[in-house]
Amino acid sequence: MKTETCLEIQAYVDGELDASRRATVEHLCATDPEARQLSEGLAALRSAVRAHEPEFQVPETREFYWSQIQRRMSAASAAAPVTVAGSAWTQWMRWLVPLAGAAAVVSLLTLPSREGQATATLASMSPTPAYAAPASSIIYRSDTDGVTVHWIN
Amino acid sequence: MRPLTGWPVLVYRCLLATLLLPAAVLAEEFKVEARLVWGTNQPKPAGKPFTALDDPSRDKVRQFKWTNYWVVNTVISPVPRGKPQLVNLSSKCAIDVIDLGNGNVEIRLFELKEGAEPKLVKPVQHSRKALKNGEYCILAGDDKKVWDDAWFVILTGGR
Repeated sequence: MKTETCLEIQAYVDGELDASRRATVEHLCATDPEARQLSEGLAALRSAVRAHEPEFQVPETREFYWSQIQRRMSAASAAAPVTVAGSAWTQWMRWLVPLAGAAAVVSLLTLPSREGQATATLASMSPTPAYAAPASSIIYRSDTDGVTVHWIN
Repeated sequence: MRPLTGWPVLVYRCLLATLLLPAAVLAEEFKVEARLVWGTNQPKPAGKPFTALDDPSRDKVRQFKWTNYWVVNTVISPVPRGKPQLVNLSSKCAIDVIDLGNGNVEIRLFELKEGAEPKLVKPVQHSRKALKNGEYCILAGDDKKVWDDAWFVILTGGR
């Protein structure tokens, strides 16, 4: 069998032929056992490959994942605009929340001054002069080994 | 009043000694050994009097990645109740250790610079009893000058 004929049969199996060429190949397969065998073999191979081809799914990237969440949040906020209830409690909360925030900021600001006092006291007890804030560290401890490691950053 | 002589003095002295002996034993000054150790993958530099870290101590730092731990210097630091004593480990670092009186000692690591006062790098606290029983307190960090090397200050009171 010629190579062109084999390619024609393969194109027929793949469904790439027009009506006239398809009729020609069908006639050939009906009359020529070798052509029929090739056509059947190729069809069987095609169905086997289609049936057993593993499917790979491209993993979703982190950006895609977060963009989906962001898109859904945007859609949800657009669909349901936030309505503020006009109750007395809500009116109070409108003032209480900023006040609580301001109180937290004030308490945070007062903390460093206390540390400064402690450092000054320590420095006065020590022969060494006042010093800058000590470095941070990561502590690793093993009771079984009886060791504590302070890894200074 | 006539001063006491003879056997009353002897009894008095014995009594005093009996009372003061436990206090003297308790007041025995506790000392810790501090070793400055260089953690590296490099061999020992020629001409340096470094020694390899002993096996028990090496076992304590086995979690770290370095293949060699060279002991650069070893000092004994007192642990007084009152005024701490700065002990130099090298020309660049020093420690002082103080007994806080609450069962803990405070170890302070200082950075030394020529012409400047010692700069506190890190104070840490550790159980006095644990140190005395041979527990290790290690201060460590990356070597700022040599990439991928580290320094260790290994303290213990039980050696």
